[in-house]
Amino acid sequence: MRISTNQIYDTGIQGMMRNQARLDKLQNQISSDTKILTAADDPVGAAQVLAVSQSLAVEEQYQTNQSSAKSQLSLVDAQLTSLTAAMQTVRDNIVKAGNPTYTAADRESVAKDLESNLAEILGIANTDNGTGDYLFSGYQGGTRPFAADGLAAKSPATESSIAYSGDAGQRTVQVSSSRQMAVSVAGSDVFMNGKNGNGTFVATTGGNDVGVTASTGNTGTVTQSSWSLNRTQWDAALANTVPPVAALPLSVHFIDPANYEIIDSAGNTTGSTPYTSGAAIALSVNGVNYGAQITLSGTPVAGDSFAIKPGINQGTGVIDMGSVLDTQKWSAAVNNALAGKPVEIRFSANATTGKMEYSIYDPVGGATAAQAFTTGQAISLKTAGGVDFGSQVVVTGTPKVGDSFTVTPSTSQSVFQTVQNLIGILRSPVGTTYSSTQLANDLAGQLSNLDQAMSQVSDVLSTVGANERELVALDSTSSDLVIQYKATISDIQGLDYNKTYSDYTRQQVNLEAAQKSFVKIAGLSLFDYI
Amino acid sequence: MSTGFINTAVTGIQVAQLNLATTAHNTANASTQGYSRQRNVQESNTATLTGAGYVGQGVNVASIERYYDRFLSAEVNSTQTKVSQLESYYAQVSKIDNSLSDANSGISTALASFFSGVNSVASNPSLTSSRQTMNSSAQSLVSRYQALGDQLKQLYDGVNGSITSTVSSINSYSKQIGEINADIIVAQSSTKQPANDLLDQRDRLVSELNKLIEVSTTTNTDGSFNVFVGTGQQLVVGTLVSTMTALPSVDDPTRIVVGLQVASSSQELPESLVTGGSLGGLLAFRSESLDSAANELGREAASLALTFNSQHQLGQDLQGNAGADYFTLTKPTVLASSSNKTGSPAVSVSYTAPAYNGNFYTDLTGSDYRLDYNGSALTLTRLSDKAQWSGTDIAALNTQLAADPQGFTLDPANFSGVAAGTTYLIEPTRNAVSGLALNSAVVADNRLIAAAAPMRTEATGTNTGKATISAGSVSPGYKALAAGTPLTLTYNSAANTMTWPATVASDGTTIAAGSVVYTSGKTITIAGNNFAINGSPNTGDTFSIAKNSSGTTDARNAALLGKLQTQNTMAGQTASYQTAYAALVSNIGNKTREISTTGDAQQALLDQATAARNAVSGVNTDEEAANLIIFQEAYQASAKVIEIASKLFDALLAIN
Repeated sequence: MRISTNQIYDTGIQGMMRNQARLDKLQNQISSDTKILTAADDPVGAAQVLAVSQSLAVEEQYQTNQSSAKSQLSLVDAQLTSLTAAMQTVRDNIVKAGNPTYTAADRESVAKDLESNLAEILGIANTDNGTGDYLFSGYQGGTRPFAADGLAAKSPATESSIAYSGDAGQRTVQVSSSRQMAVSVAGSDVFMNGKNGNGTFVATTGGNDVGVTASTGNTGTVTQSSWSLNRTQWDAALANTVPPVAALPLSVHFIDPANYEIIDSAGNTTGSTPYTSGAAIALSVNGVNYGAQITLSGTPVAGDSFAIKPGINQGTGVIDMGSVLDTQKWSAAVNNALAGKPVEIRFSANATTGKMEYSIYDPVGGATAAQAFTTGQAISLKTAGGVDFGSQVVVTGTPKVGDSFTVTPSTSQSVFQTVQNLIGILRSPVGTTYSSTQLANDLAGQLSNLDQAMSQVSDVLSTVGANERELVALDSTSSDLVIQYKATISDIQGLDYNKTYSDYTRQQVNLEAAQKSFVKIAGLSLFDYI
Repeated sequence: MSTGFINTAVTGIQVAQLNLATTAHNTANASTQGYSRQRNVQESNTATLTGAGYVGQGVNVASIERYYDRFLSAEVNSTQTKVSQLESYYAQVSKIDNSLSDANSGISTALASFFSGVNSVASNPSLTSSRQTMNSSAQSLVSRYQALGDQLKQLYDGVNGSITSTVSSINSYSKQIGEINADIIVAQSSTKQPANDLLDQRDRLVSELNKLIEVSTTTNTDGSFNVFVGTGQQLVVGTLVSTMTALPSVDDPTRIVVGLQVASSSQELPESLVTGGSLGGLLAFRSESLDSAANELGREAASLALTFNSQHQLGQDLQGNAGADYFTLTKPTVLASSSNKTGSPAVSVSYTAPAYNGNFYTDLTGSDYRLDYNGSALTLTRLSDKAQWSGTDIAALNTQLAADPQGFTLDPANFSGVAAGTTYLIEPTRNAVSGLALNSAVVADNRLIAAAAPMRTEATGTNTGKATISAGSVSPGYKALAAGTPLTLTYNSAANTMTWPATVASDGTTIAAGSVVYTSGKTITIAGNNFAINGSPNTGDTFSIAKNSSGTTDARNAALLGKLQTQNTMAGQTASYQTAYAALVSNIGNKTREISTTGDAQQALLDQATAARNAVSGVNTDEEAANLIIFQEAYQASAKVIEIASKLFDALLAIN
């Protein structure tokens, strides 16, 4: 083929330029460490890189979120651990205070300890997270969750309950594509919503219906020897709202050593009635028959008196916290007509044997038939209306006639309330109106409240712990994914150095060859020879 | 006798001189652009009849002609015009490709860092510094969009400028071709000999013109060329030259298009007629790549702003107010045709609020639309695929758009009595990027970032059952509860229902009382407030939903805002911001690659065509050197004949 001289030059120059362009591109790839310099180099790869880059960025964001969640959870964890320790101290104090040999002064000292425990718990409850937000206030980080004004200044017995000003919100952090993890716990869950009693119901002393208390100013030798009660009449008298109405407490007042009168709290009186030592006195005033009889014996002095009013249990019966045997029965029972109403266990004496008996009473169905009572026996909660709560309580000790125990469904009681109640209990003087049995019952009751509160905290703590453990697992998953994404990106756009360097060298050799041959060819001319 | 053959030798010397002259001309023009080597066409002189027969009378040069093959030249021209088109296209599209691919100028990293800012608010909603981070990263995302938008705008303006200057060059070449046509007619008609160098010059001008726009030529009998563009639009006919013009488009005054001067007015040439050359490359780049890149980028910016705003509005700011818009966005562009009669109504369109199906999404398409009025009905045409919607008025069109959403609706306009042929160009997303900004109120006061959800839930502490309530969320159009007026649901076990009383909402309207059958874990929705109750409640247990007053550490809405990053928020819930962007990058990358590959192939074709042409027309200096020797020897040989004739004459004289 014929070739023009220009063609020789053009072809040579084009060849060198092509080689140089390739060298330039290889050099660019090497210096920027990617084989996709622009999307045009590999449009599909470039789009994949963008998609994977976003997945990578999102996963790295989850890692950041995870570490943020971790630090927030560890703060909560630390505070809840301190809280558990503080509550344990309270518990130890209660157990100590239950010692029957303790004097009022000993109990006062325990009460003082409890006051400082309460302050400590309140301090924990109002902790902030270091950036000015309260840890336990739900969504309302800027709101102090628990009032803490003048704890010491007030008498704990009259301390107003410490209210929660936060909400039930849990702050969450997105720690993986599908997981929003709670990184805070609401103060209400930790401090306020612990259930009282055994978590399902509360068994407390109900009090004796007819407590007979000798006036402290009595100078005669009269003592109360026995009393009996027609429960139906008593309940009917107290429930009646049509005048004449019952007006407790009643007072048996000796006008002189031979005559007494019964006065109700409204001032109505039976008028002077002859007194016979050991004879039953029927309690009936102002046309209201209370259905009860008391027996007084001994020699009175004019002005001696006995107060008759519902009071604390008279016997030594102590009730445990009870247990639920069948939760389905329980929940069916509390969702029927008895919802929210207390059930009572009432003690009375057998009319013939005089032995202690109990019956279960509820405001709707009334009382069941009396059953013989043995100390320490399990008492099943089944009402006269046939409602079976599927639960039982155990009463130990010796109750007296008229003593009762009440079972109500659990409701929430704040840990502050429990401690405040304890302080109040410990400061109540033990005597005729407040027996050591009642103290034991009350302490046991509050102890089970505290145990519930502690188990509530422990539940929350274990959720926090589970979240922290989950974060460890998530972190490793995220790290794996990050490595995986980076590997994918590197696979798509990463440079194969061996190949690229070898390409580069080859291209260099090509260019040099093109240059040398061009010079040689361009130097050939026939004109040189003519 | 001897005189005769001296004369014959002299013709040989003369022809040898002419041959040497042509060889010198070829050698001198060895590197002249468009030069075709020339040769002398020799022929023997008419012989003289003698008794001995016809005696030769030497040689003469009949003509000097070009080594030229018009098919080979046409081949070079047609491949050259494609190469020029692709080079011009490549030069432009590779700029977009570079910008989109560059991590520093692309959207991808800015988008990731923006959502990282959102996440930092989600992790620490009460920290002003987190909120500031979110605002700053949002600002840099907006800047990034705008920088890219500006670059596309500059390319657009650049294309306008290049069209104008290219048209001016085309006119200049047309004029020169017309002039050379005239010269050639004169030169060839007088001598009947080819005007080789003028022809070369004209060929070169046509070839240069082909680099700007694809033209076809025909030759007239007088040797002049006719030059046509497109499907036969005359540019040069003999010595008559038409003027090409660059003028603003009727539909869009910012768009410079190519026109042809007809009589006193300029007529817009349809773009389909302007192919090849750098002008064809520019026009193809603008309509195929630049417009769609700007539309696509705008679609992303608009979708981001609209969906983010909608979710932001479902939140509550640090001051307890419902979220405002986070981004601001100007209305879509509508251009009235300059051919519309005065009194045509002004047409405007608005973005429709994003649809909601678990997350917000837009239906914007990235196409432009044309609205035509034919005197009785309005027709909206989607220019990308010519899909059409028709109706007697704007309201009828909007009804159709509601059923087949395009992400925008037409604002009311009255078309009664308007002339037929009134048209508007609607560009829903073309300029969205330049209209994107952060809401200045949120920038000034970052407490207005709505990180919290507007409602919160609580299971009452005194409940005796074991049931919990979920954190809750709100749907679009929810009714906010008034502060201090929670709505309380009470469980009744006999009926297994949750019942709530009528409650006055924050806007003063009443949320009606109601009741639902309780199913654990089933979502309950009351006036757009959603939540679920799980577990076994007891009769009388209550659950409340309330306004999230003072909810400064709640970040539920910020978490939902953060989730938008990975949700399908665009194109009718089929693409996320990032996948849409990746598609744009990939499309531009593909186009660039396609243009580059096709360009390489065309270049190879051009090289071959050029080589073929040069094989015929190109000067080879070695060949010319050899010719020099040949013609020198021919000269010397003829001179020798004269010398011999002279000696013969001398011999005759010596006899004397």
